Amino acid sequence: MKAIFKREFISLVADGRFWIACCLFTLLVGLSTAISLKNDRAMEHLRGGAQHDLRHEWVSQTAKDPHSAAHFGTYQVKPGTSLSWFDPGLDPFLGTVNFLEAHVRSEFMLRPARDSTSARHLGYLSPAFLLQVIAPLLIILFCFGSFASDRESGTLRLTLASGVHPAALVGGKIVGGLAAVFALVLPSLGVSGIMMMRVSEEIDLARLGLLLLGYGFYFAAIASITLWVSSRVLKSQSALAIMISFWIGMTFVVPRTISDMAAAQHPLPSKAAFAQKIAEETRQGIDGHDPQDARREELLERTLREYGVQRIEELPVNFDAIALQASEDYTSELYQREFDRVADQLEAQAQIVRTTAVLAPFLAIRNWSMAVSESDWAHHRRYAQAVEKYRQELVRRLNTDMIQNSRTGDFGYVVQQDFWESIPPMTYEGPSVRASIEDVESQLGLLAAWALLGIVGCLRASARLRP
Amino acid sequence: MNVRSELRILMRDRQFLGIVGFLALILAVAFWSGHNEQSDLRRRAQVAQSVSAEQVSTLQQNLRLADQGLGDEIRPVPTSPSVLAATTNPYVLKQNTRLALTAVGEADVRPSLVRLGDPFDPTWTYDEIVSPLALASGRFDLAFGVVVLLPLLVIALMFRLYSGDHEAGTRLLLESGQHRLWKILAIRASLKYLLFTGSLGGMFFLGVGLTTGGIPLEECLRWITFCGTYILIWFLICFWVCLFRAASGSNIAVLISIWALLVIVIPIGLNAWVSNPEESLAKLEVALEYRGVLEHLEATPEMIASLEASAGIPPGSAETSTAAALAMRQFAIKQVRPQMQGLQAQAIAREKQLQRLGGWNPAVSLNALLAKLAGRDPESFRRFERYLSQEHARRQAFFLKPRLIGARMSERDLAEIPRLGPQEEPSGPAWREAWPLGLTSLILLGIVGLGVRRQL
Amino acid sequence: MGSATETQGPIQSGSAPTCLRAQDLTMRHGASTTLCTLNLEVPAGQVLSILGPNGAGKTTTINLFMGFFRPASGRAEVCGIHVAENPIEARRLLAYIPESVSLYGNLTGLENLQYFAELGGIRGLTFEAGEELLARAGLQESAWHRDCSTYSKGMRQKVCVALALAKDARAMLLDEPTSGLDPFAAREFSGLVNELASQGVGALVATHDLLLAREISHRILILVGGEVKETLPTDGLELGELEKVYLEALAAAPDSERDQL
Repeated sequence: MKAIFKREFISLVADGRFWIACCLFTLLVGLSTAISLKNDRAMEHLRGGAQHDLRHEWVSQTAKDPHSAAHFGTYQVKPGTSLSWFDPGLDPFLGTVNFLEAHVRSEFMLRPARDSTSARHLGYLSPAFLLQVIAPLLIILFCFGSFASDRESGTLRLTLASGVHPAALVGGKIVGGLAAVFALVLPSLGVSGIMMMRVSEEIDLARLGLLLLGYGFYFAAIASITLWVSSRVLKSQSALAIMISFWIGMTFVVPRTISDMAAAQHPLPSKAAFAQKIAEETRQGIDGHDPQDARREELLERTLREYGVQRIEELPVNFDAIALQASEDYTSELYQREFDRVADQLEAQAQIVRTTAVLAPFLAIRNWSMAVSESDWAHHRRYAQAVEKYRQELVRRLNTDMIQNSRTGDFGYVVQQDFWESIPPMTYEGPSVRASIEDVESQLGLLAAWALLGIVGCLRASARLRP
Repeated sequence: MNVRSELRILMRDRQFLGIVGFLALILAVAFWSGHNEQSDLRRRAQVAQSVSAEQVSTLQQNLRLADQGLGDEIRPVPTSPSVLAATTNPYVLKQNTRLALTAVGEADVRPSLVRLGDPFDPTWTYDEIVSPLALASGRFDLAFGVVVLLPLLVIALMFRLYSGDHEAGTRLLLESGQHRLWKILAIRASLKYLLFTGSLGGMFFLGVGLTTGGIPLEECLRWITFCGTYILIWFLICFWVCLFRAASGSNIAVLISIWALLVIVIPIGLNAWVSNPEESLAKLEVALEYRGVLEHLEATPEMIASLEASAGIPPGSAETSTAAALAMRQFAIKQVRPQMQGLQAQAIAREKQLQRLGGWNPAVSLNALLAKLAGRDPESFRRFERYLSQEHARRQAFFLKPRLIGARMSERDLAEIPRLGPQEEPSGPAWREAWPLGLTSLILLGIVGLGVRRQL
Repeated sequence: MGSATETQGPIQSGSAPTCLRAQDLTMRHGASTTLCTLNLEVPAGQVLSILGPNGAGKTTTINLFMGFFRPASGRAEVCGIHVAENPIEARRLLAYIPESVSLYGNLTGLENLQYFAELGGIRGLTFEAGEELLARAGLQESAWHRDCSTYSKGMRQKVCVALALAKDARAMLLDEPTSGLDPFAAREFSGLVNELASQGVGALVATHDLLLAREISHRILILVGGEVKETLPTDGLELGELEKVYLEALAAAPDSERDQL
């Protein structure tokens, strides 16, 4: 087996094309890492600047009543993550900025995908894209002939005749092939890693380890499946044709058709219908049972009872502000429900994609890589919820000040700058590694299963290996 | 020459028929996907129209009640110009060409169905609810099928051009005949090209006919010509690589590498090179500046006077607070206009740069041409945005006077609100815009010719 | 190298152990029977030729002895080892020279020898030992350290013979060994085989070359359509007589099989 491993490895590595491919790939990954890191740094800088400007805008706003400040609102910029340069995932397609104001929960705006060109339809250049799409192609191009070429040239006949155990032959080829594959890919990872270490202050080893694990399984799966196919077909060109079809299918055809199907299965509401529903329910109350006027009447009665007074003028607090906050609570709940409905549809779509990963290891690695790099849908949803929580707290804080420090009908009440300063900016702590991969553990399992399938397939094929 | 017998051989070639079958499959999926997308858009437009119609009819009823003096004390009937403006804001569906379903173009990241915003808010934006997952995967539109997948079929058709005969041992027999081998191979390649492109054309006509219920001949011919040239380029590349190369396996490997480079690596590399993710936050900075002006500056009497003049009302007749607010908005937008124009110029420059750097790459240039044929290229979206801001401005002009004087609107005013003006229909690319494709194919033809001569 | 005449005469060793044995060996491909109840025995030191037209089942027989196919019924044995049950063990005792020997073109003859020997379980074949084997197999010294892509067919066969020597094979299987060789190389190769046989190796040669069969072997088995038609000792057999017997055996075969000639 050692001899076979050595021969397989050396014959792959001694090939001039291997080195050309290795150099080109390393160059590509290096370039994309450089571009991604540069963009990431620039974005980080801009985000820092924008956050500073936003805070400045907030604290230096003119004196006004707190509820007007809630309408004045503020923007929140989505923070970057430590690995978004490696795998931007869905980030280009999700907004980067969110406007926080009273009564309205807005969607994220300013999707970076808008500021790119039509070539984006083929993919976003990132180290992850190259590893997910281009690396398997190279692996296929180098491994397809492993058995089939030997069979074509007749050396397989001589090899088998030598009395070597077929399992040892296959084992040697698998290990040799995998070693060559990693020799092909590792330099690029090394270059990427060195570049990252030069610019990043802190390195999240746990996430890097998980990424390596996922990609390791992925490459092992592609290589072993290629070897399996190569061991089963008579001609090397058939092995190549089958594997190229598999590659095209998993990287282009399946993801596109499946996302189409998932969108048809779990359609998103149109913006018009969504806005209409929110408007309707705000006015009518949920399901028309709880109209706005009745709500206000009931709230007034409750407040009067609470303070033990008869008339609105006798209240020691500002009832208008109480009503505003009550309406805020009401619409927040409403928005929460409607946003959740959309998010659930998206989650269902993501689930379909996750399930389809059974068919295409590319989907599994994409899901896994995005999740570990915190650029997937689950992470965005988590962040969006944190932003909404902050918005609600912000508005509540402003309204509470108005409730406590002014009286009903007192429209002249204003607060000064020190009050704006007393409101802390939003802080967001990203999820733990554990939480990040919660939804996609199955994807790692699938990748491992694909790798195992390939290896077991190869070994089983060894029993029937024919020259 | 022996064209007829070559044709007979080709028609019995199971591999060729299988590849044509694959072509049919790709087109079927692409038309299905395009049709889905278009009908989804139509569904959204219908919902929007009915929502809008309902809102307007409720408003109409309320206005009628108000005109009859039947207002409610707790919830007064809305008769202010701003409520009227907000309620009657129309939904606008972008006009595409009749081949819209053949390429998604920019339509995946820019809304094609837009509701005009508050006429007095110059910063309004509108976005559809879209699935980021679908966007990240990309659509299986016809443009994708043609640009990315068709070359693979061409490779599958061509990689055994010479090596097939070599491996089967028929090469020597062919060479011993009276015709030169390269001529026979050229005839074979040409026949395959004609039959393949012909099948593509036929299936395309069929697909368009079935999904759009009519065939816009002029556009379809352009589509077929552009795609035919693109396919020709791939046939020439394959011919050049495969001619006199004896190993099928290495042919595929070389061709697939060329394909990956031309169709995947270079386009996405160019995209990364040309795109500027920082622009998204630059837009935020513009918004912040606009807000800063509104927050910290006060309207001067001159601003108000000029606003009154533009509304055609006598000086001093406007409600002071409204006039001040509106004048400030006008002033603020003027302040940030240069930056906004700068961002727009950047977007245009980006497209130009892509064309300059990637025009020679057939995949990049065909992709742009197909998006244009569908009427969904960046320029058509810019035109749409210009149209929207014109309509926005018209509505603003209409509502400015009543808003300034605080007029009470009546049912009669509803009928006078300006209707949407006609949208310019995207024309699609002109023939001459396809020159990079044509030039590439000519250059390749020359290279292949020289290659053949040298081999002889 | 060793002259052919030296080892021409059959070795009369009735008590020699059996190297290759086929017992009612039958092989089917789909519905057709490619080999029908073949019985043969090759004692140590003897060469048996299977003579037959294309498609007669010669290569099938060899593949069955190699364990590349499983027989439909019957058994093939190599030095008493049942091939179908234990192909790996059987292959260790076998030297196999296919019709066209394929070696790794990017390795030298010596490296190929070392590689395949190691696969056969021979560890640590030194440079010197390898060179000696190549010399014994008759490969000229200038070729030892040259890439095999430059080798002629005869040279590649010699590497295979060296491999047989390295393995100390008990039995040899040769599939059309001299097709495509010039007469000189063919004669040289026959000499090599005979030399190996004289050292106690049992050899089975599949061929349709009458001259080779008569020259190289002790017995000839005529196989047509998967069935044994005739078994002849070569002792005193004239070429003309062999040709007559062979053509008669073919004439008796159905047309479809004769067409393949």
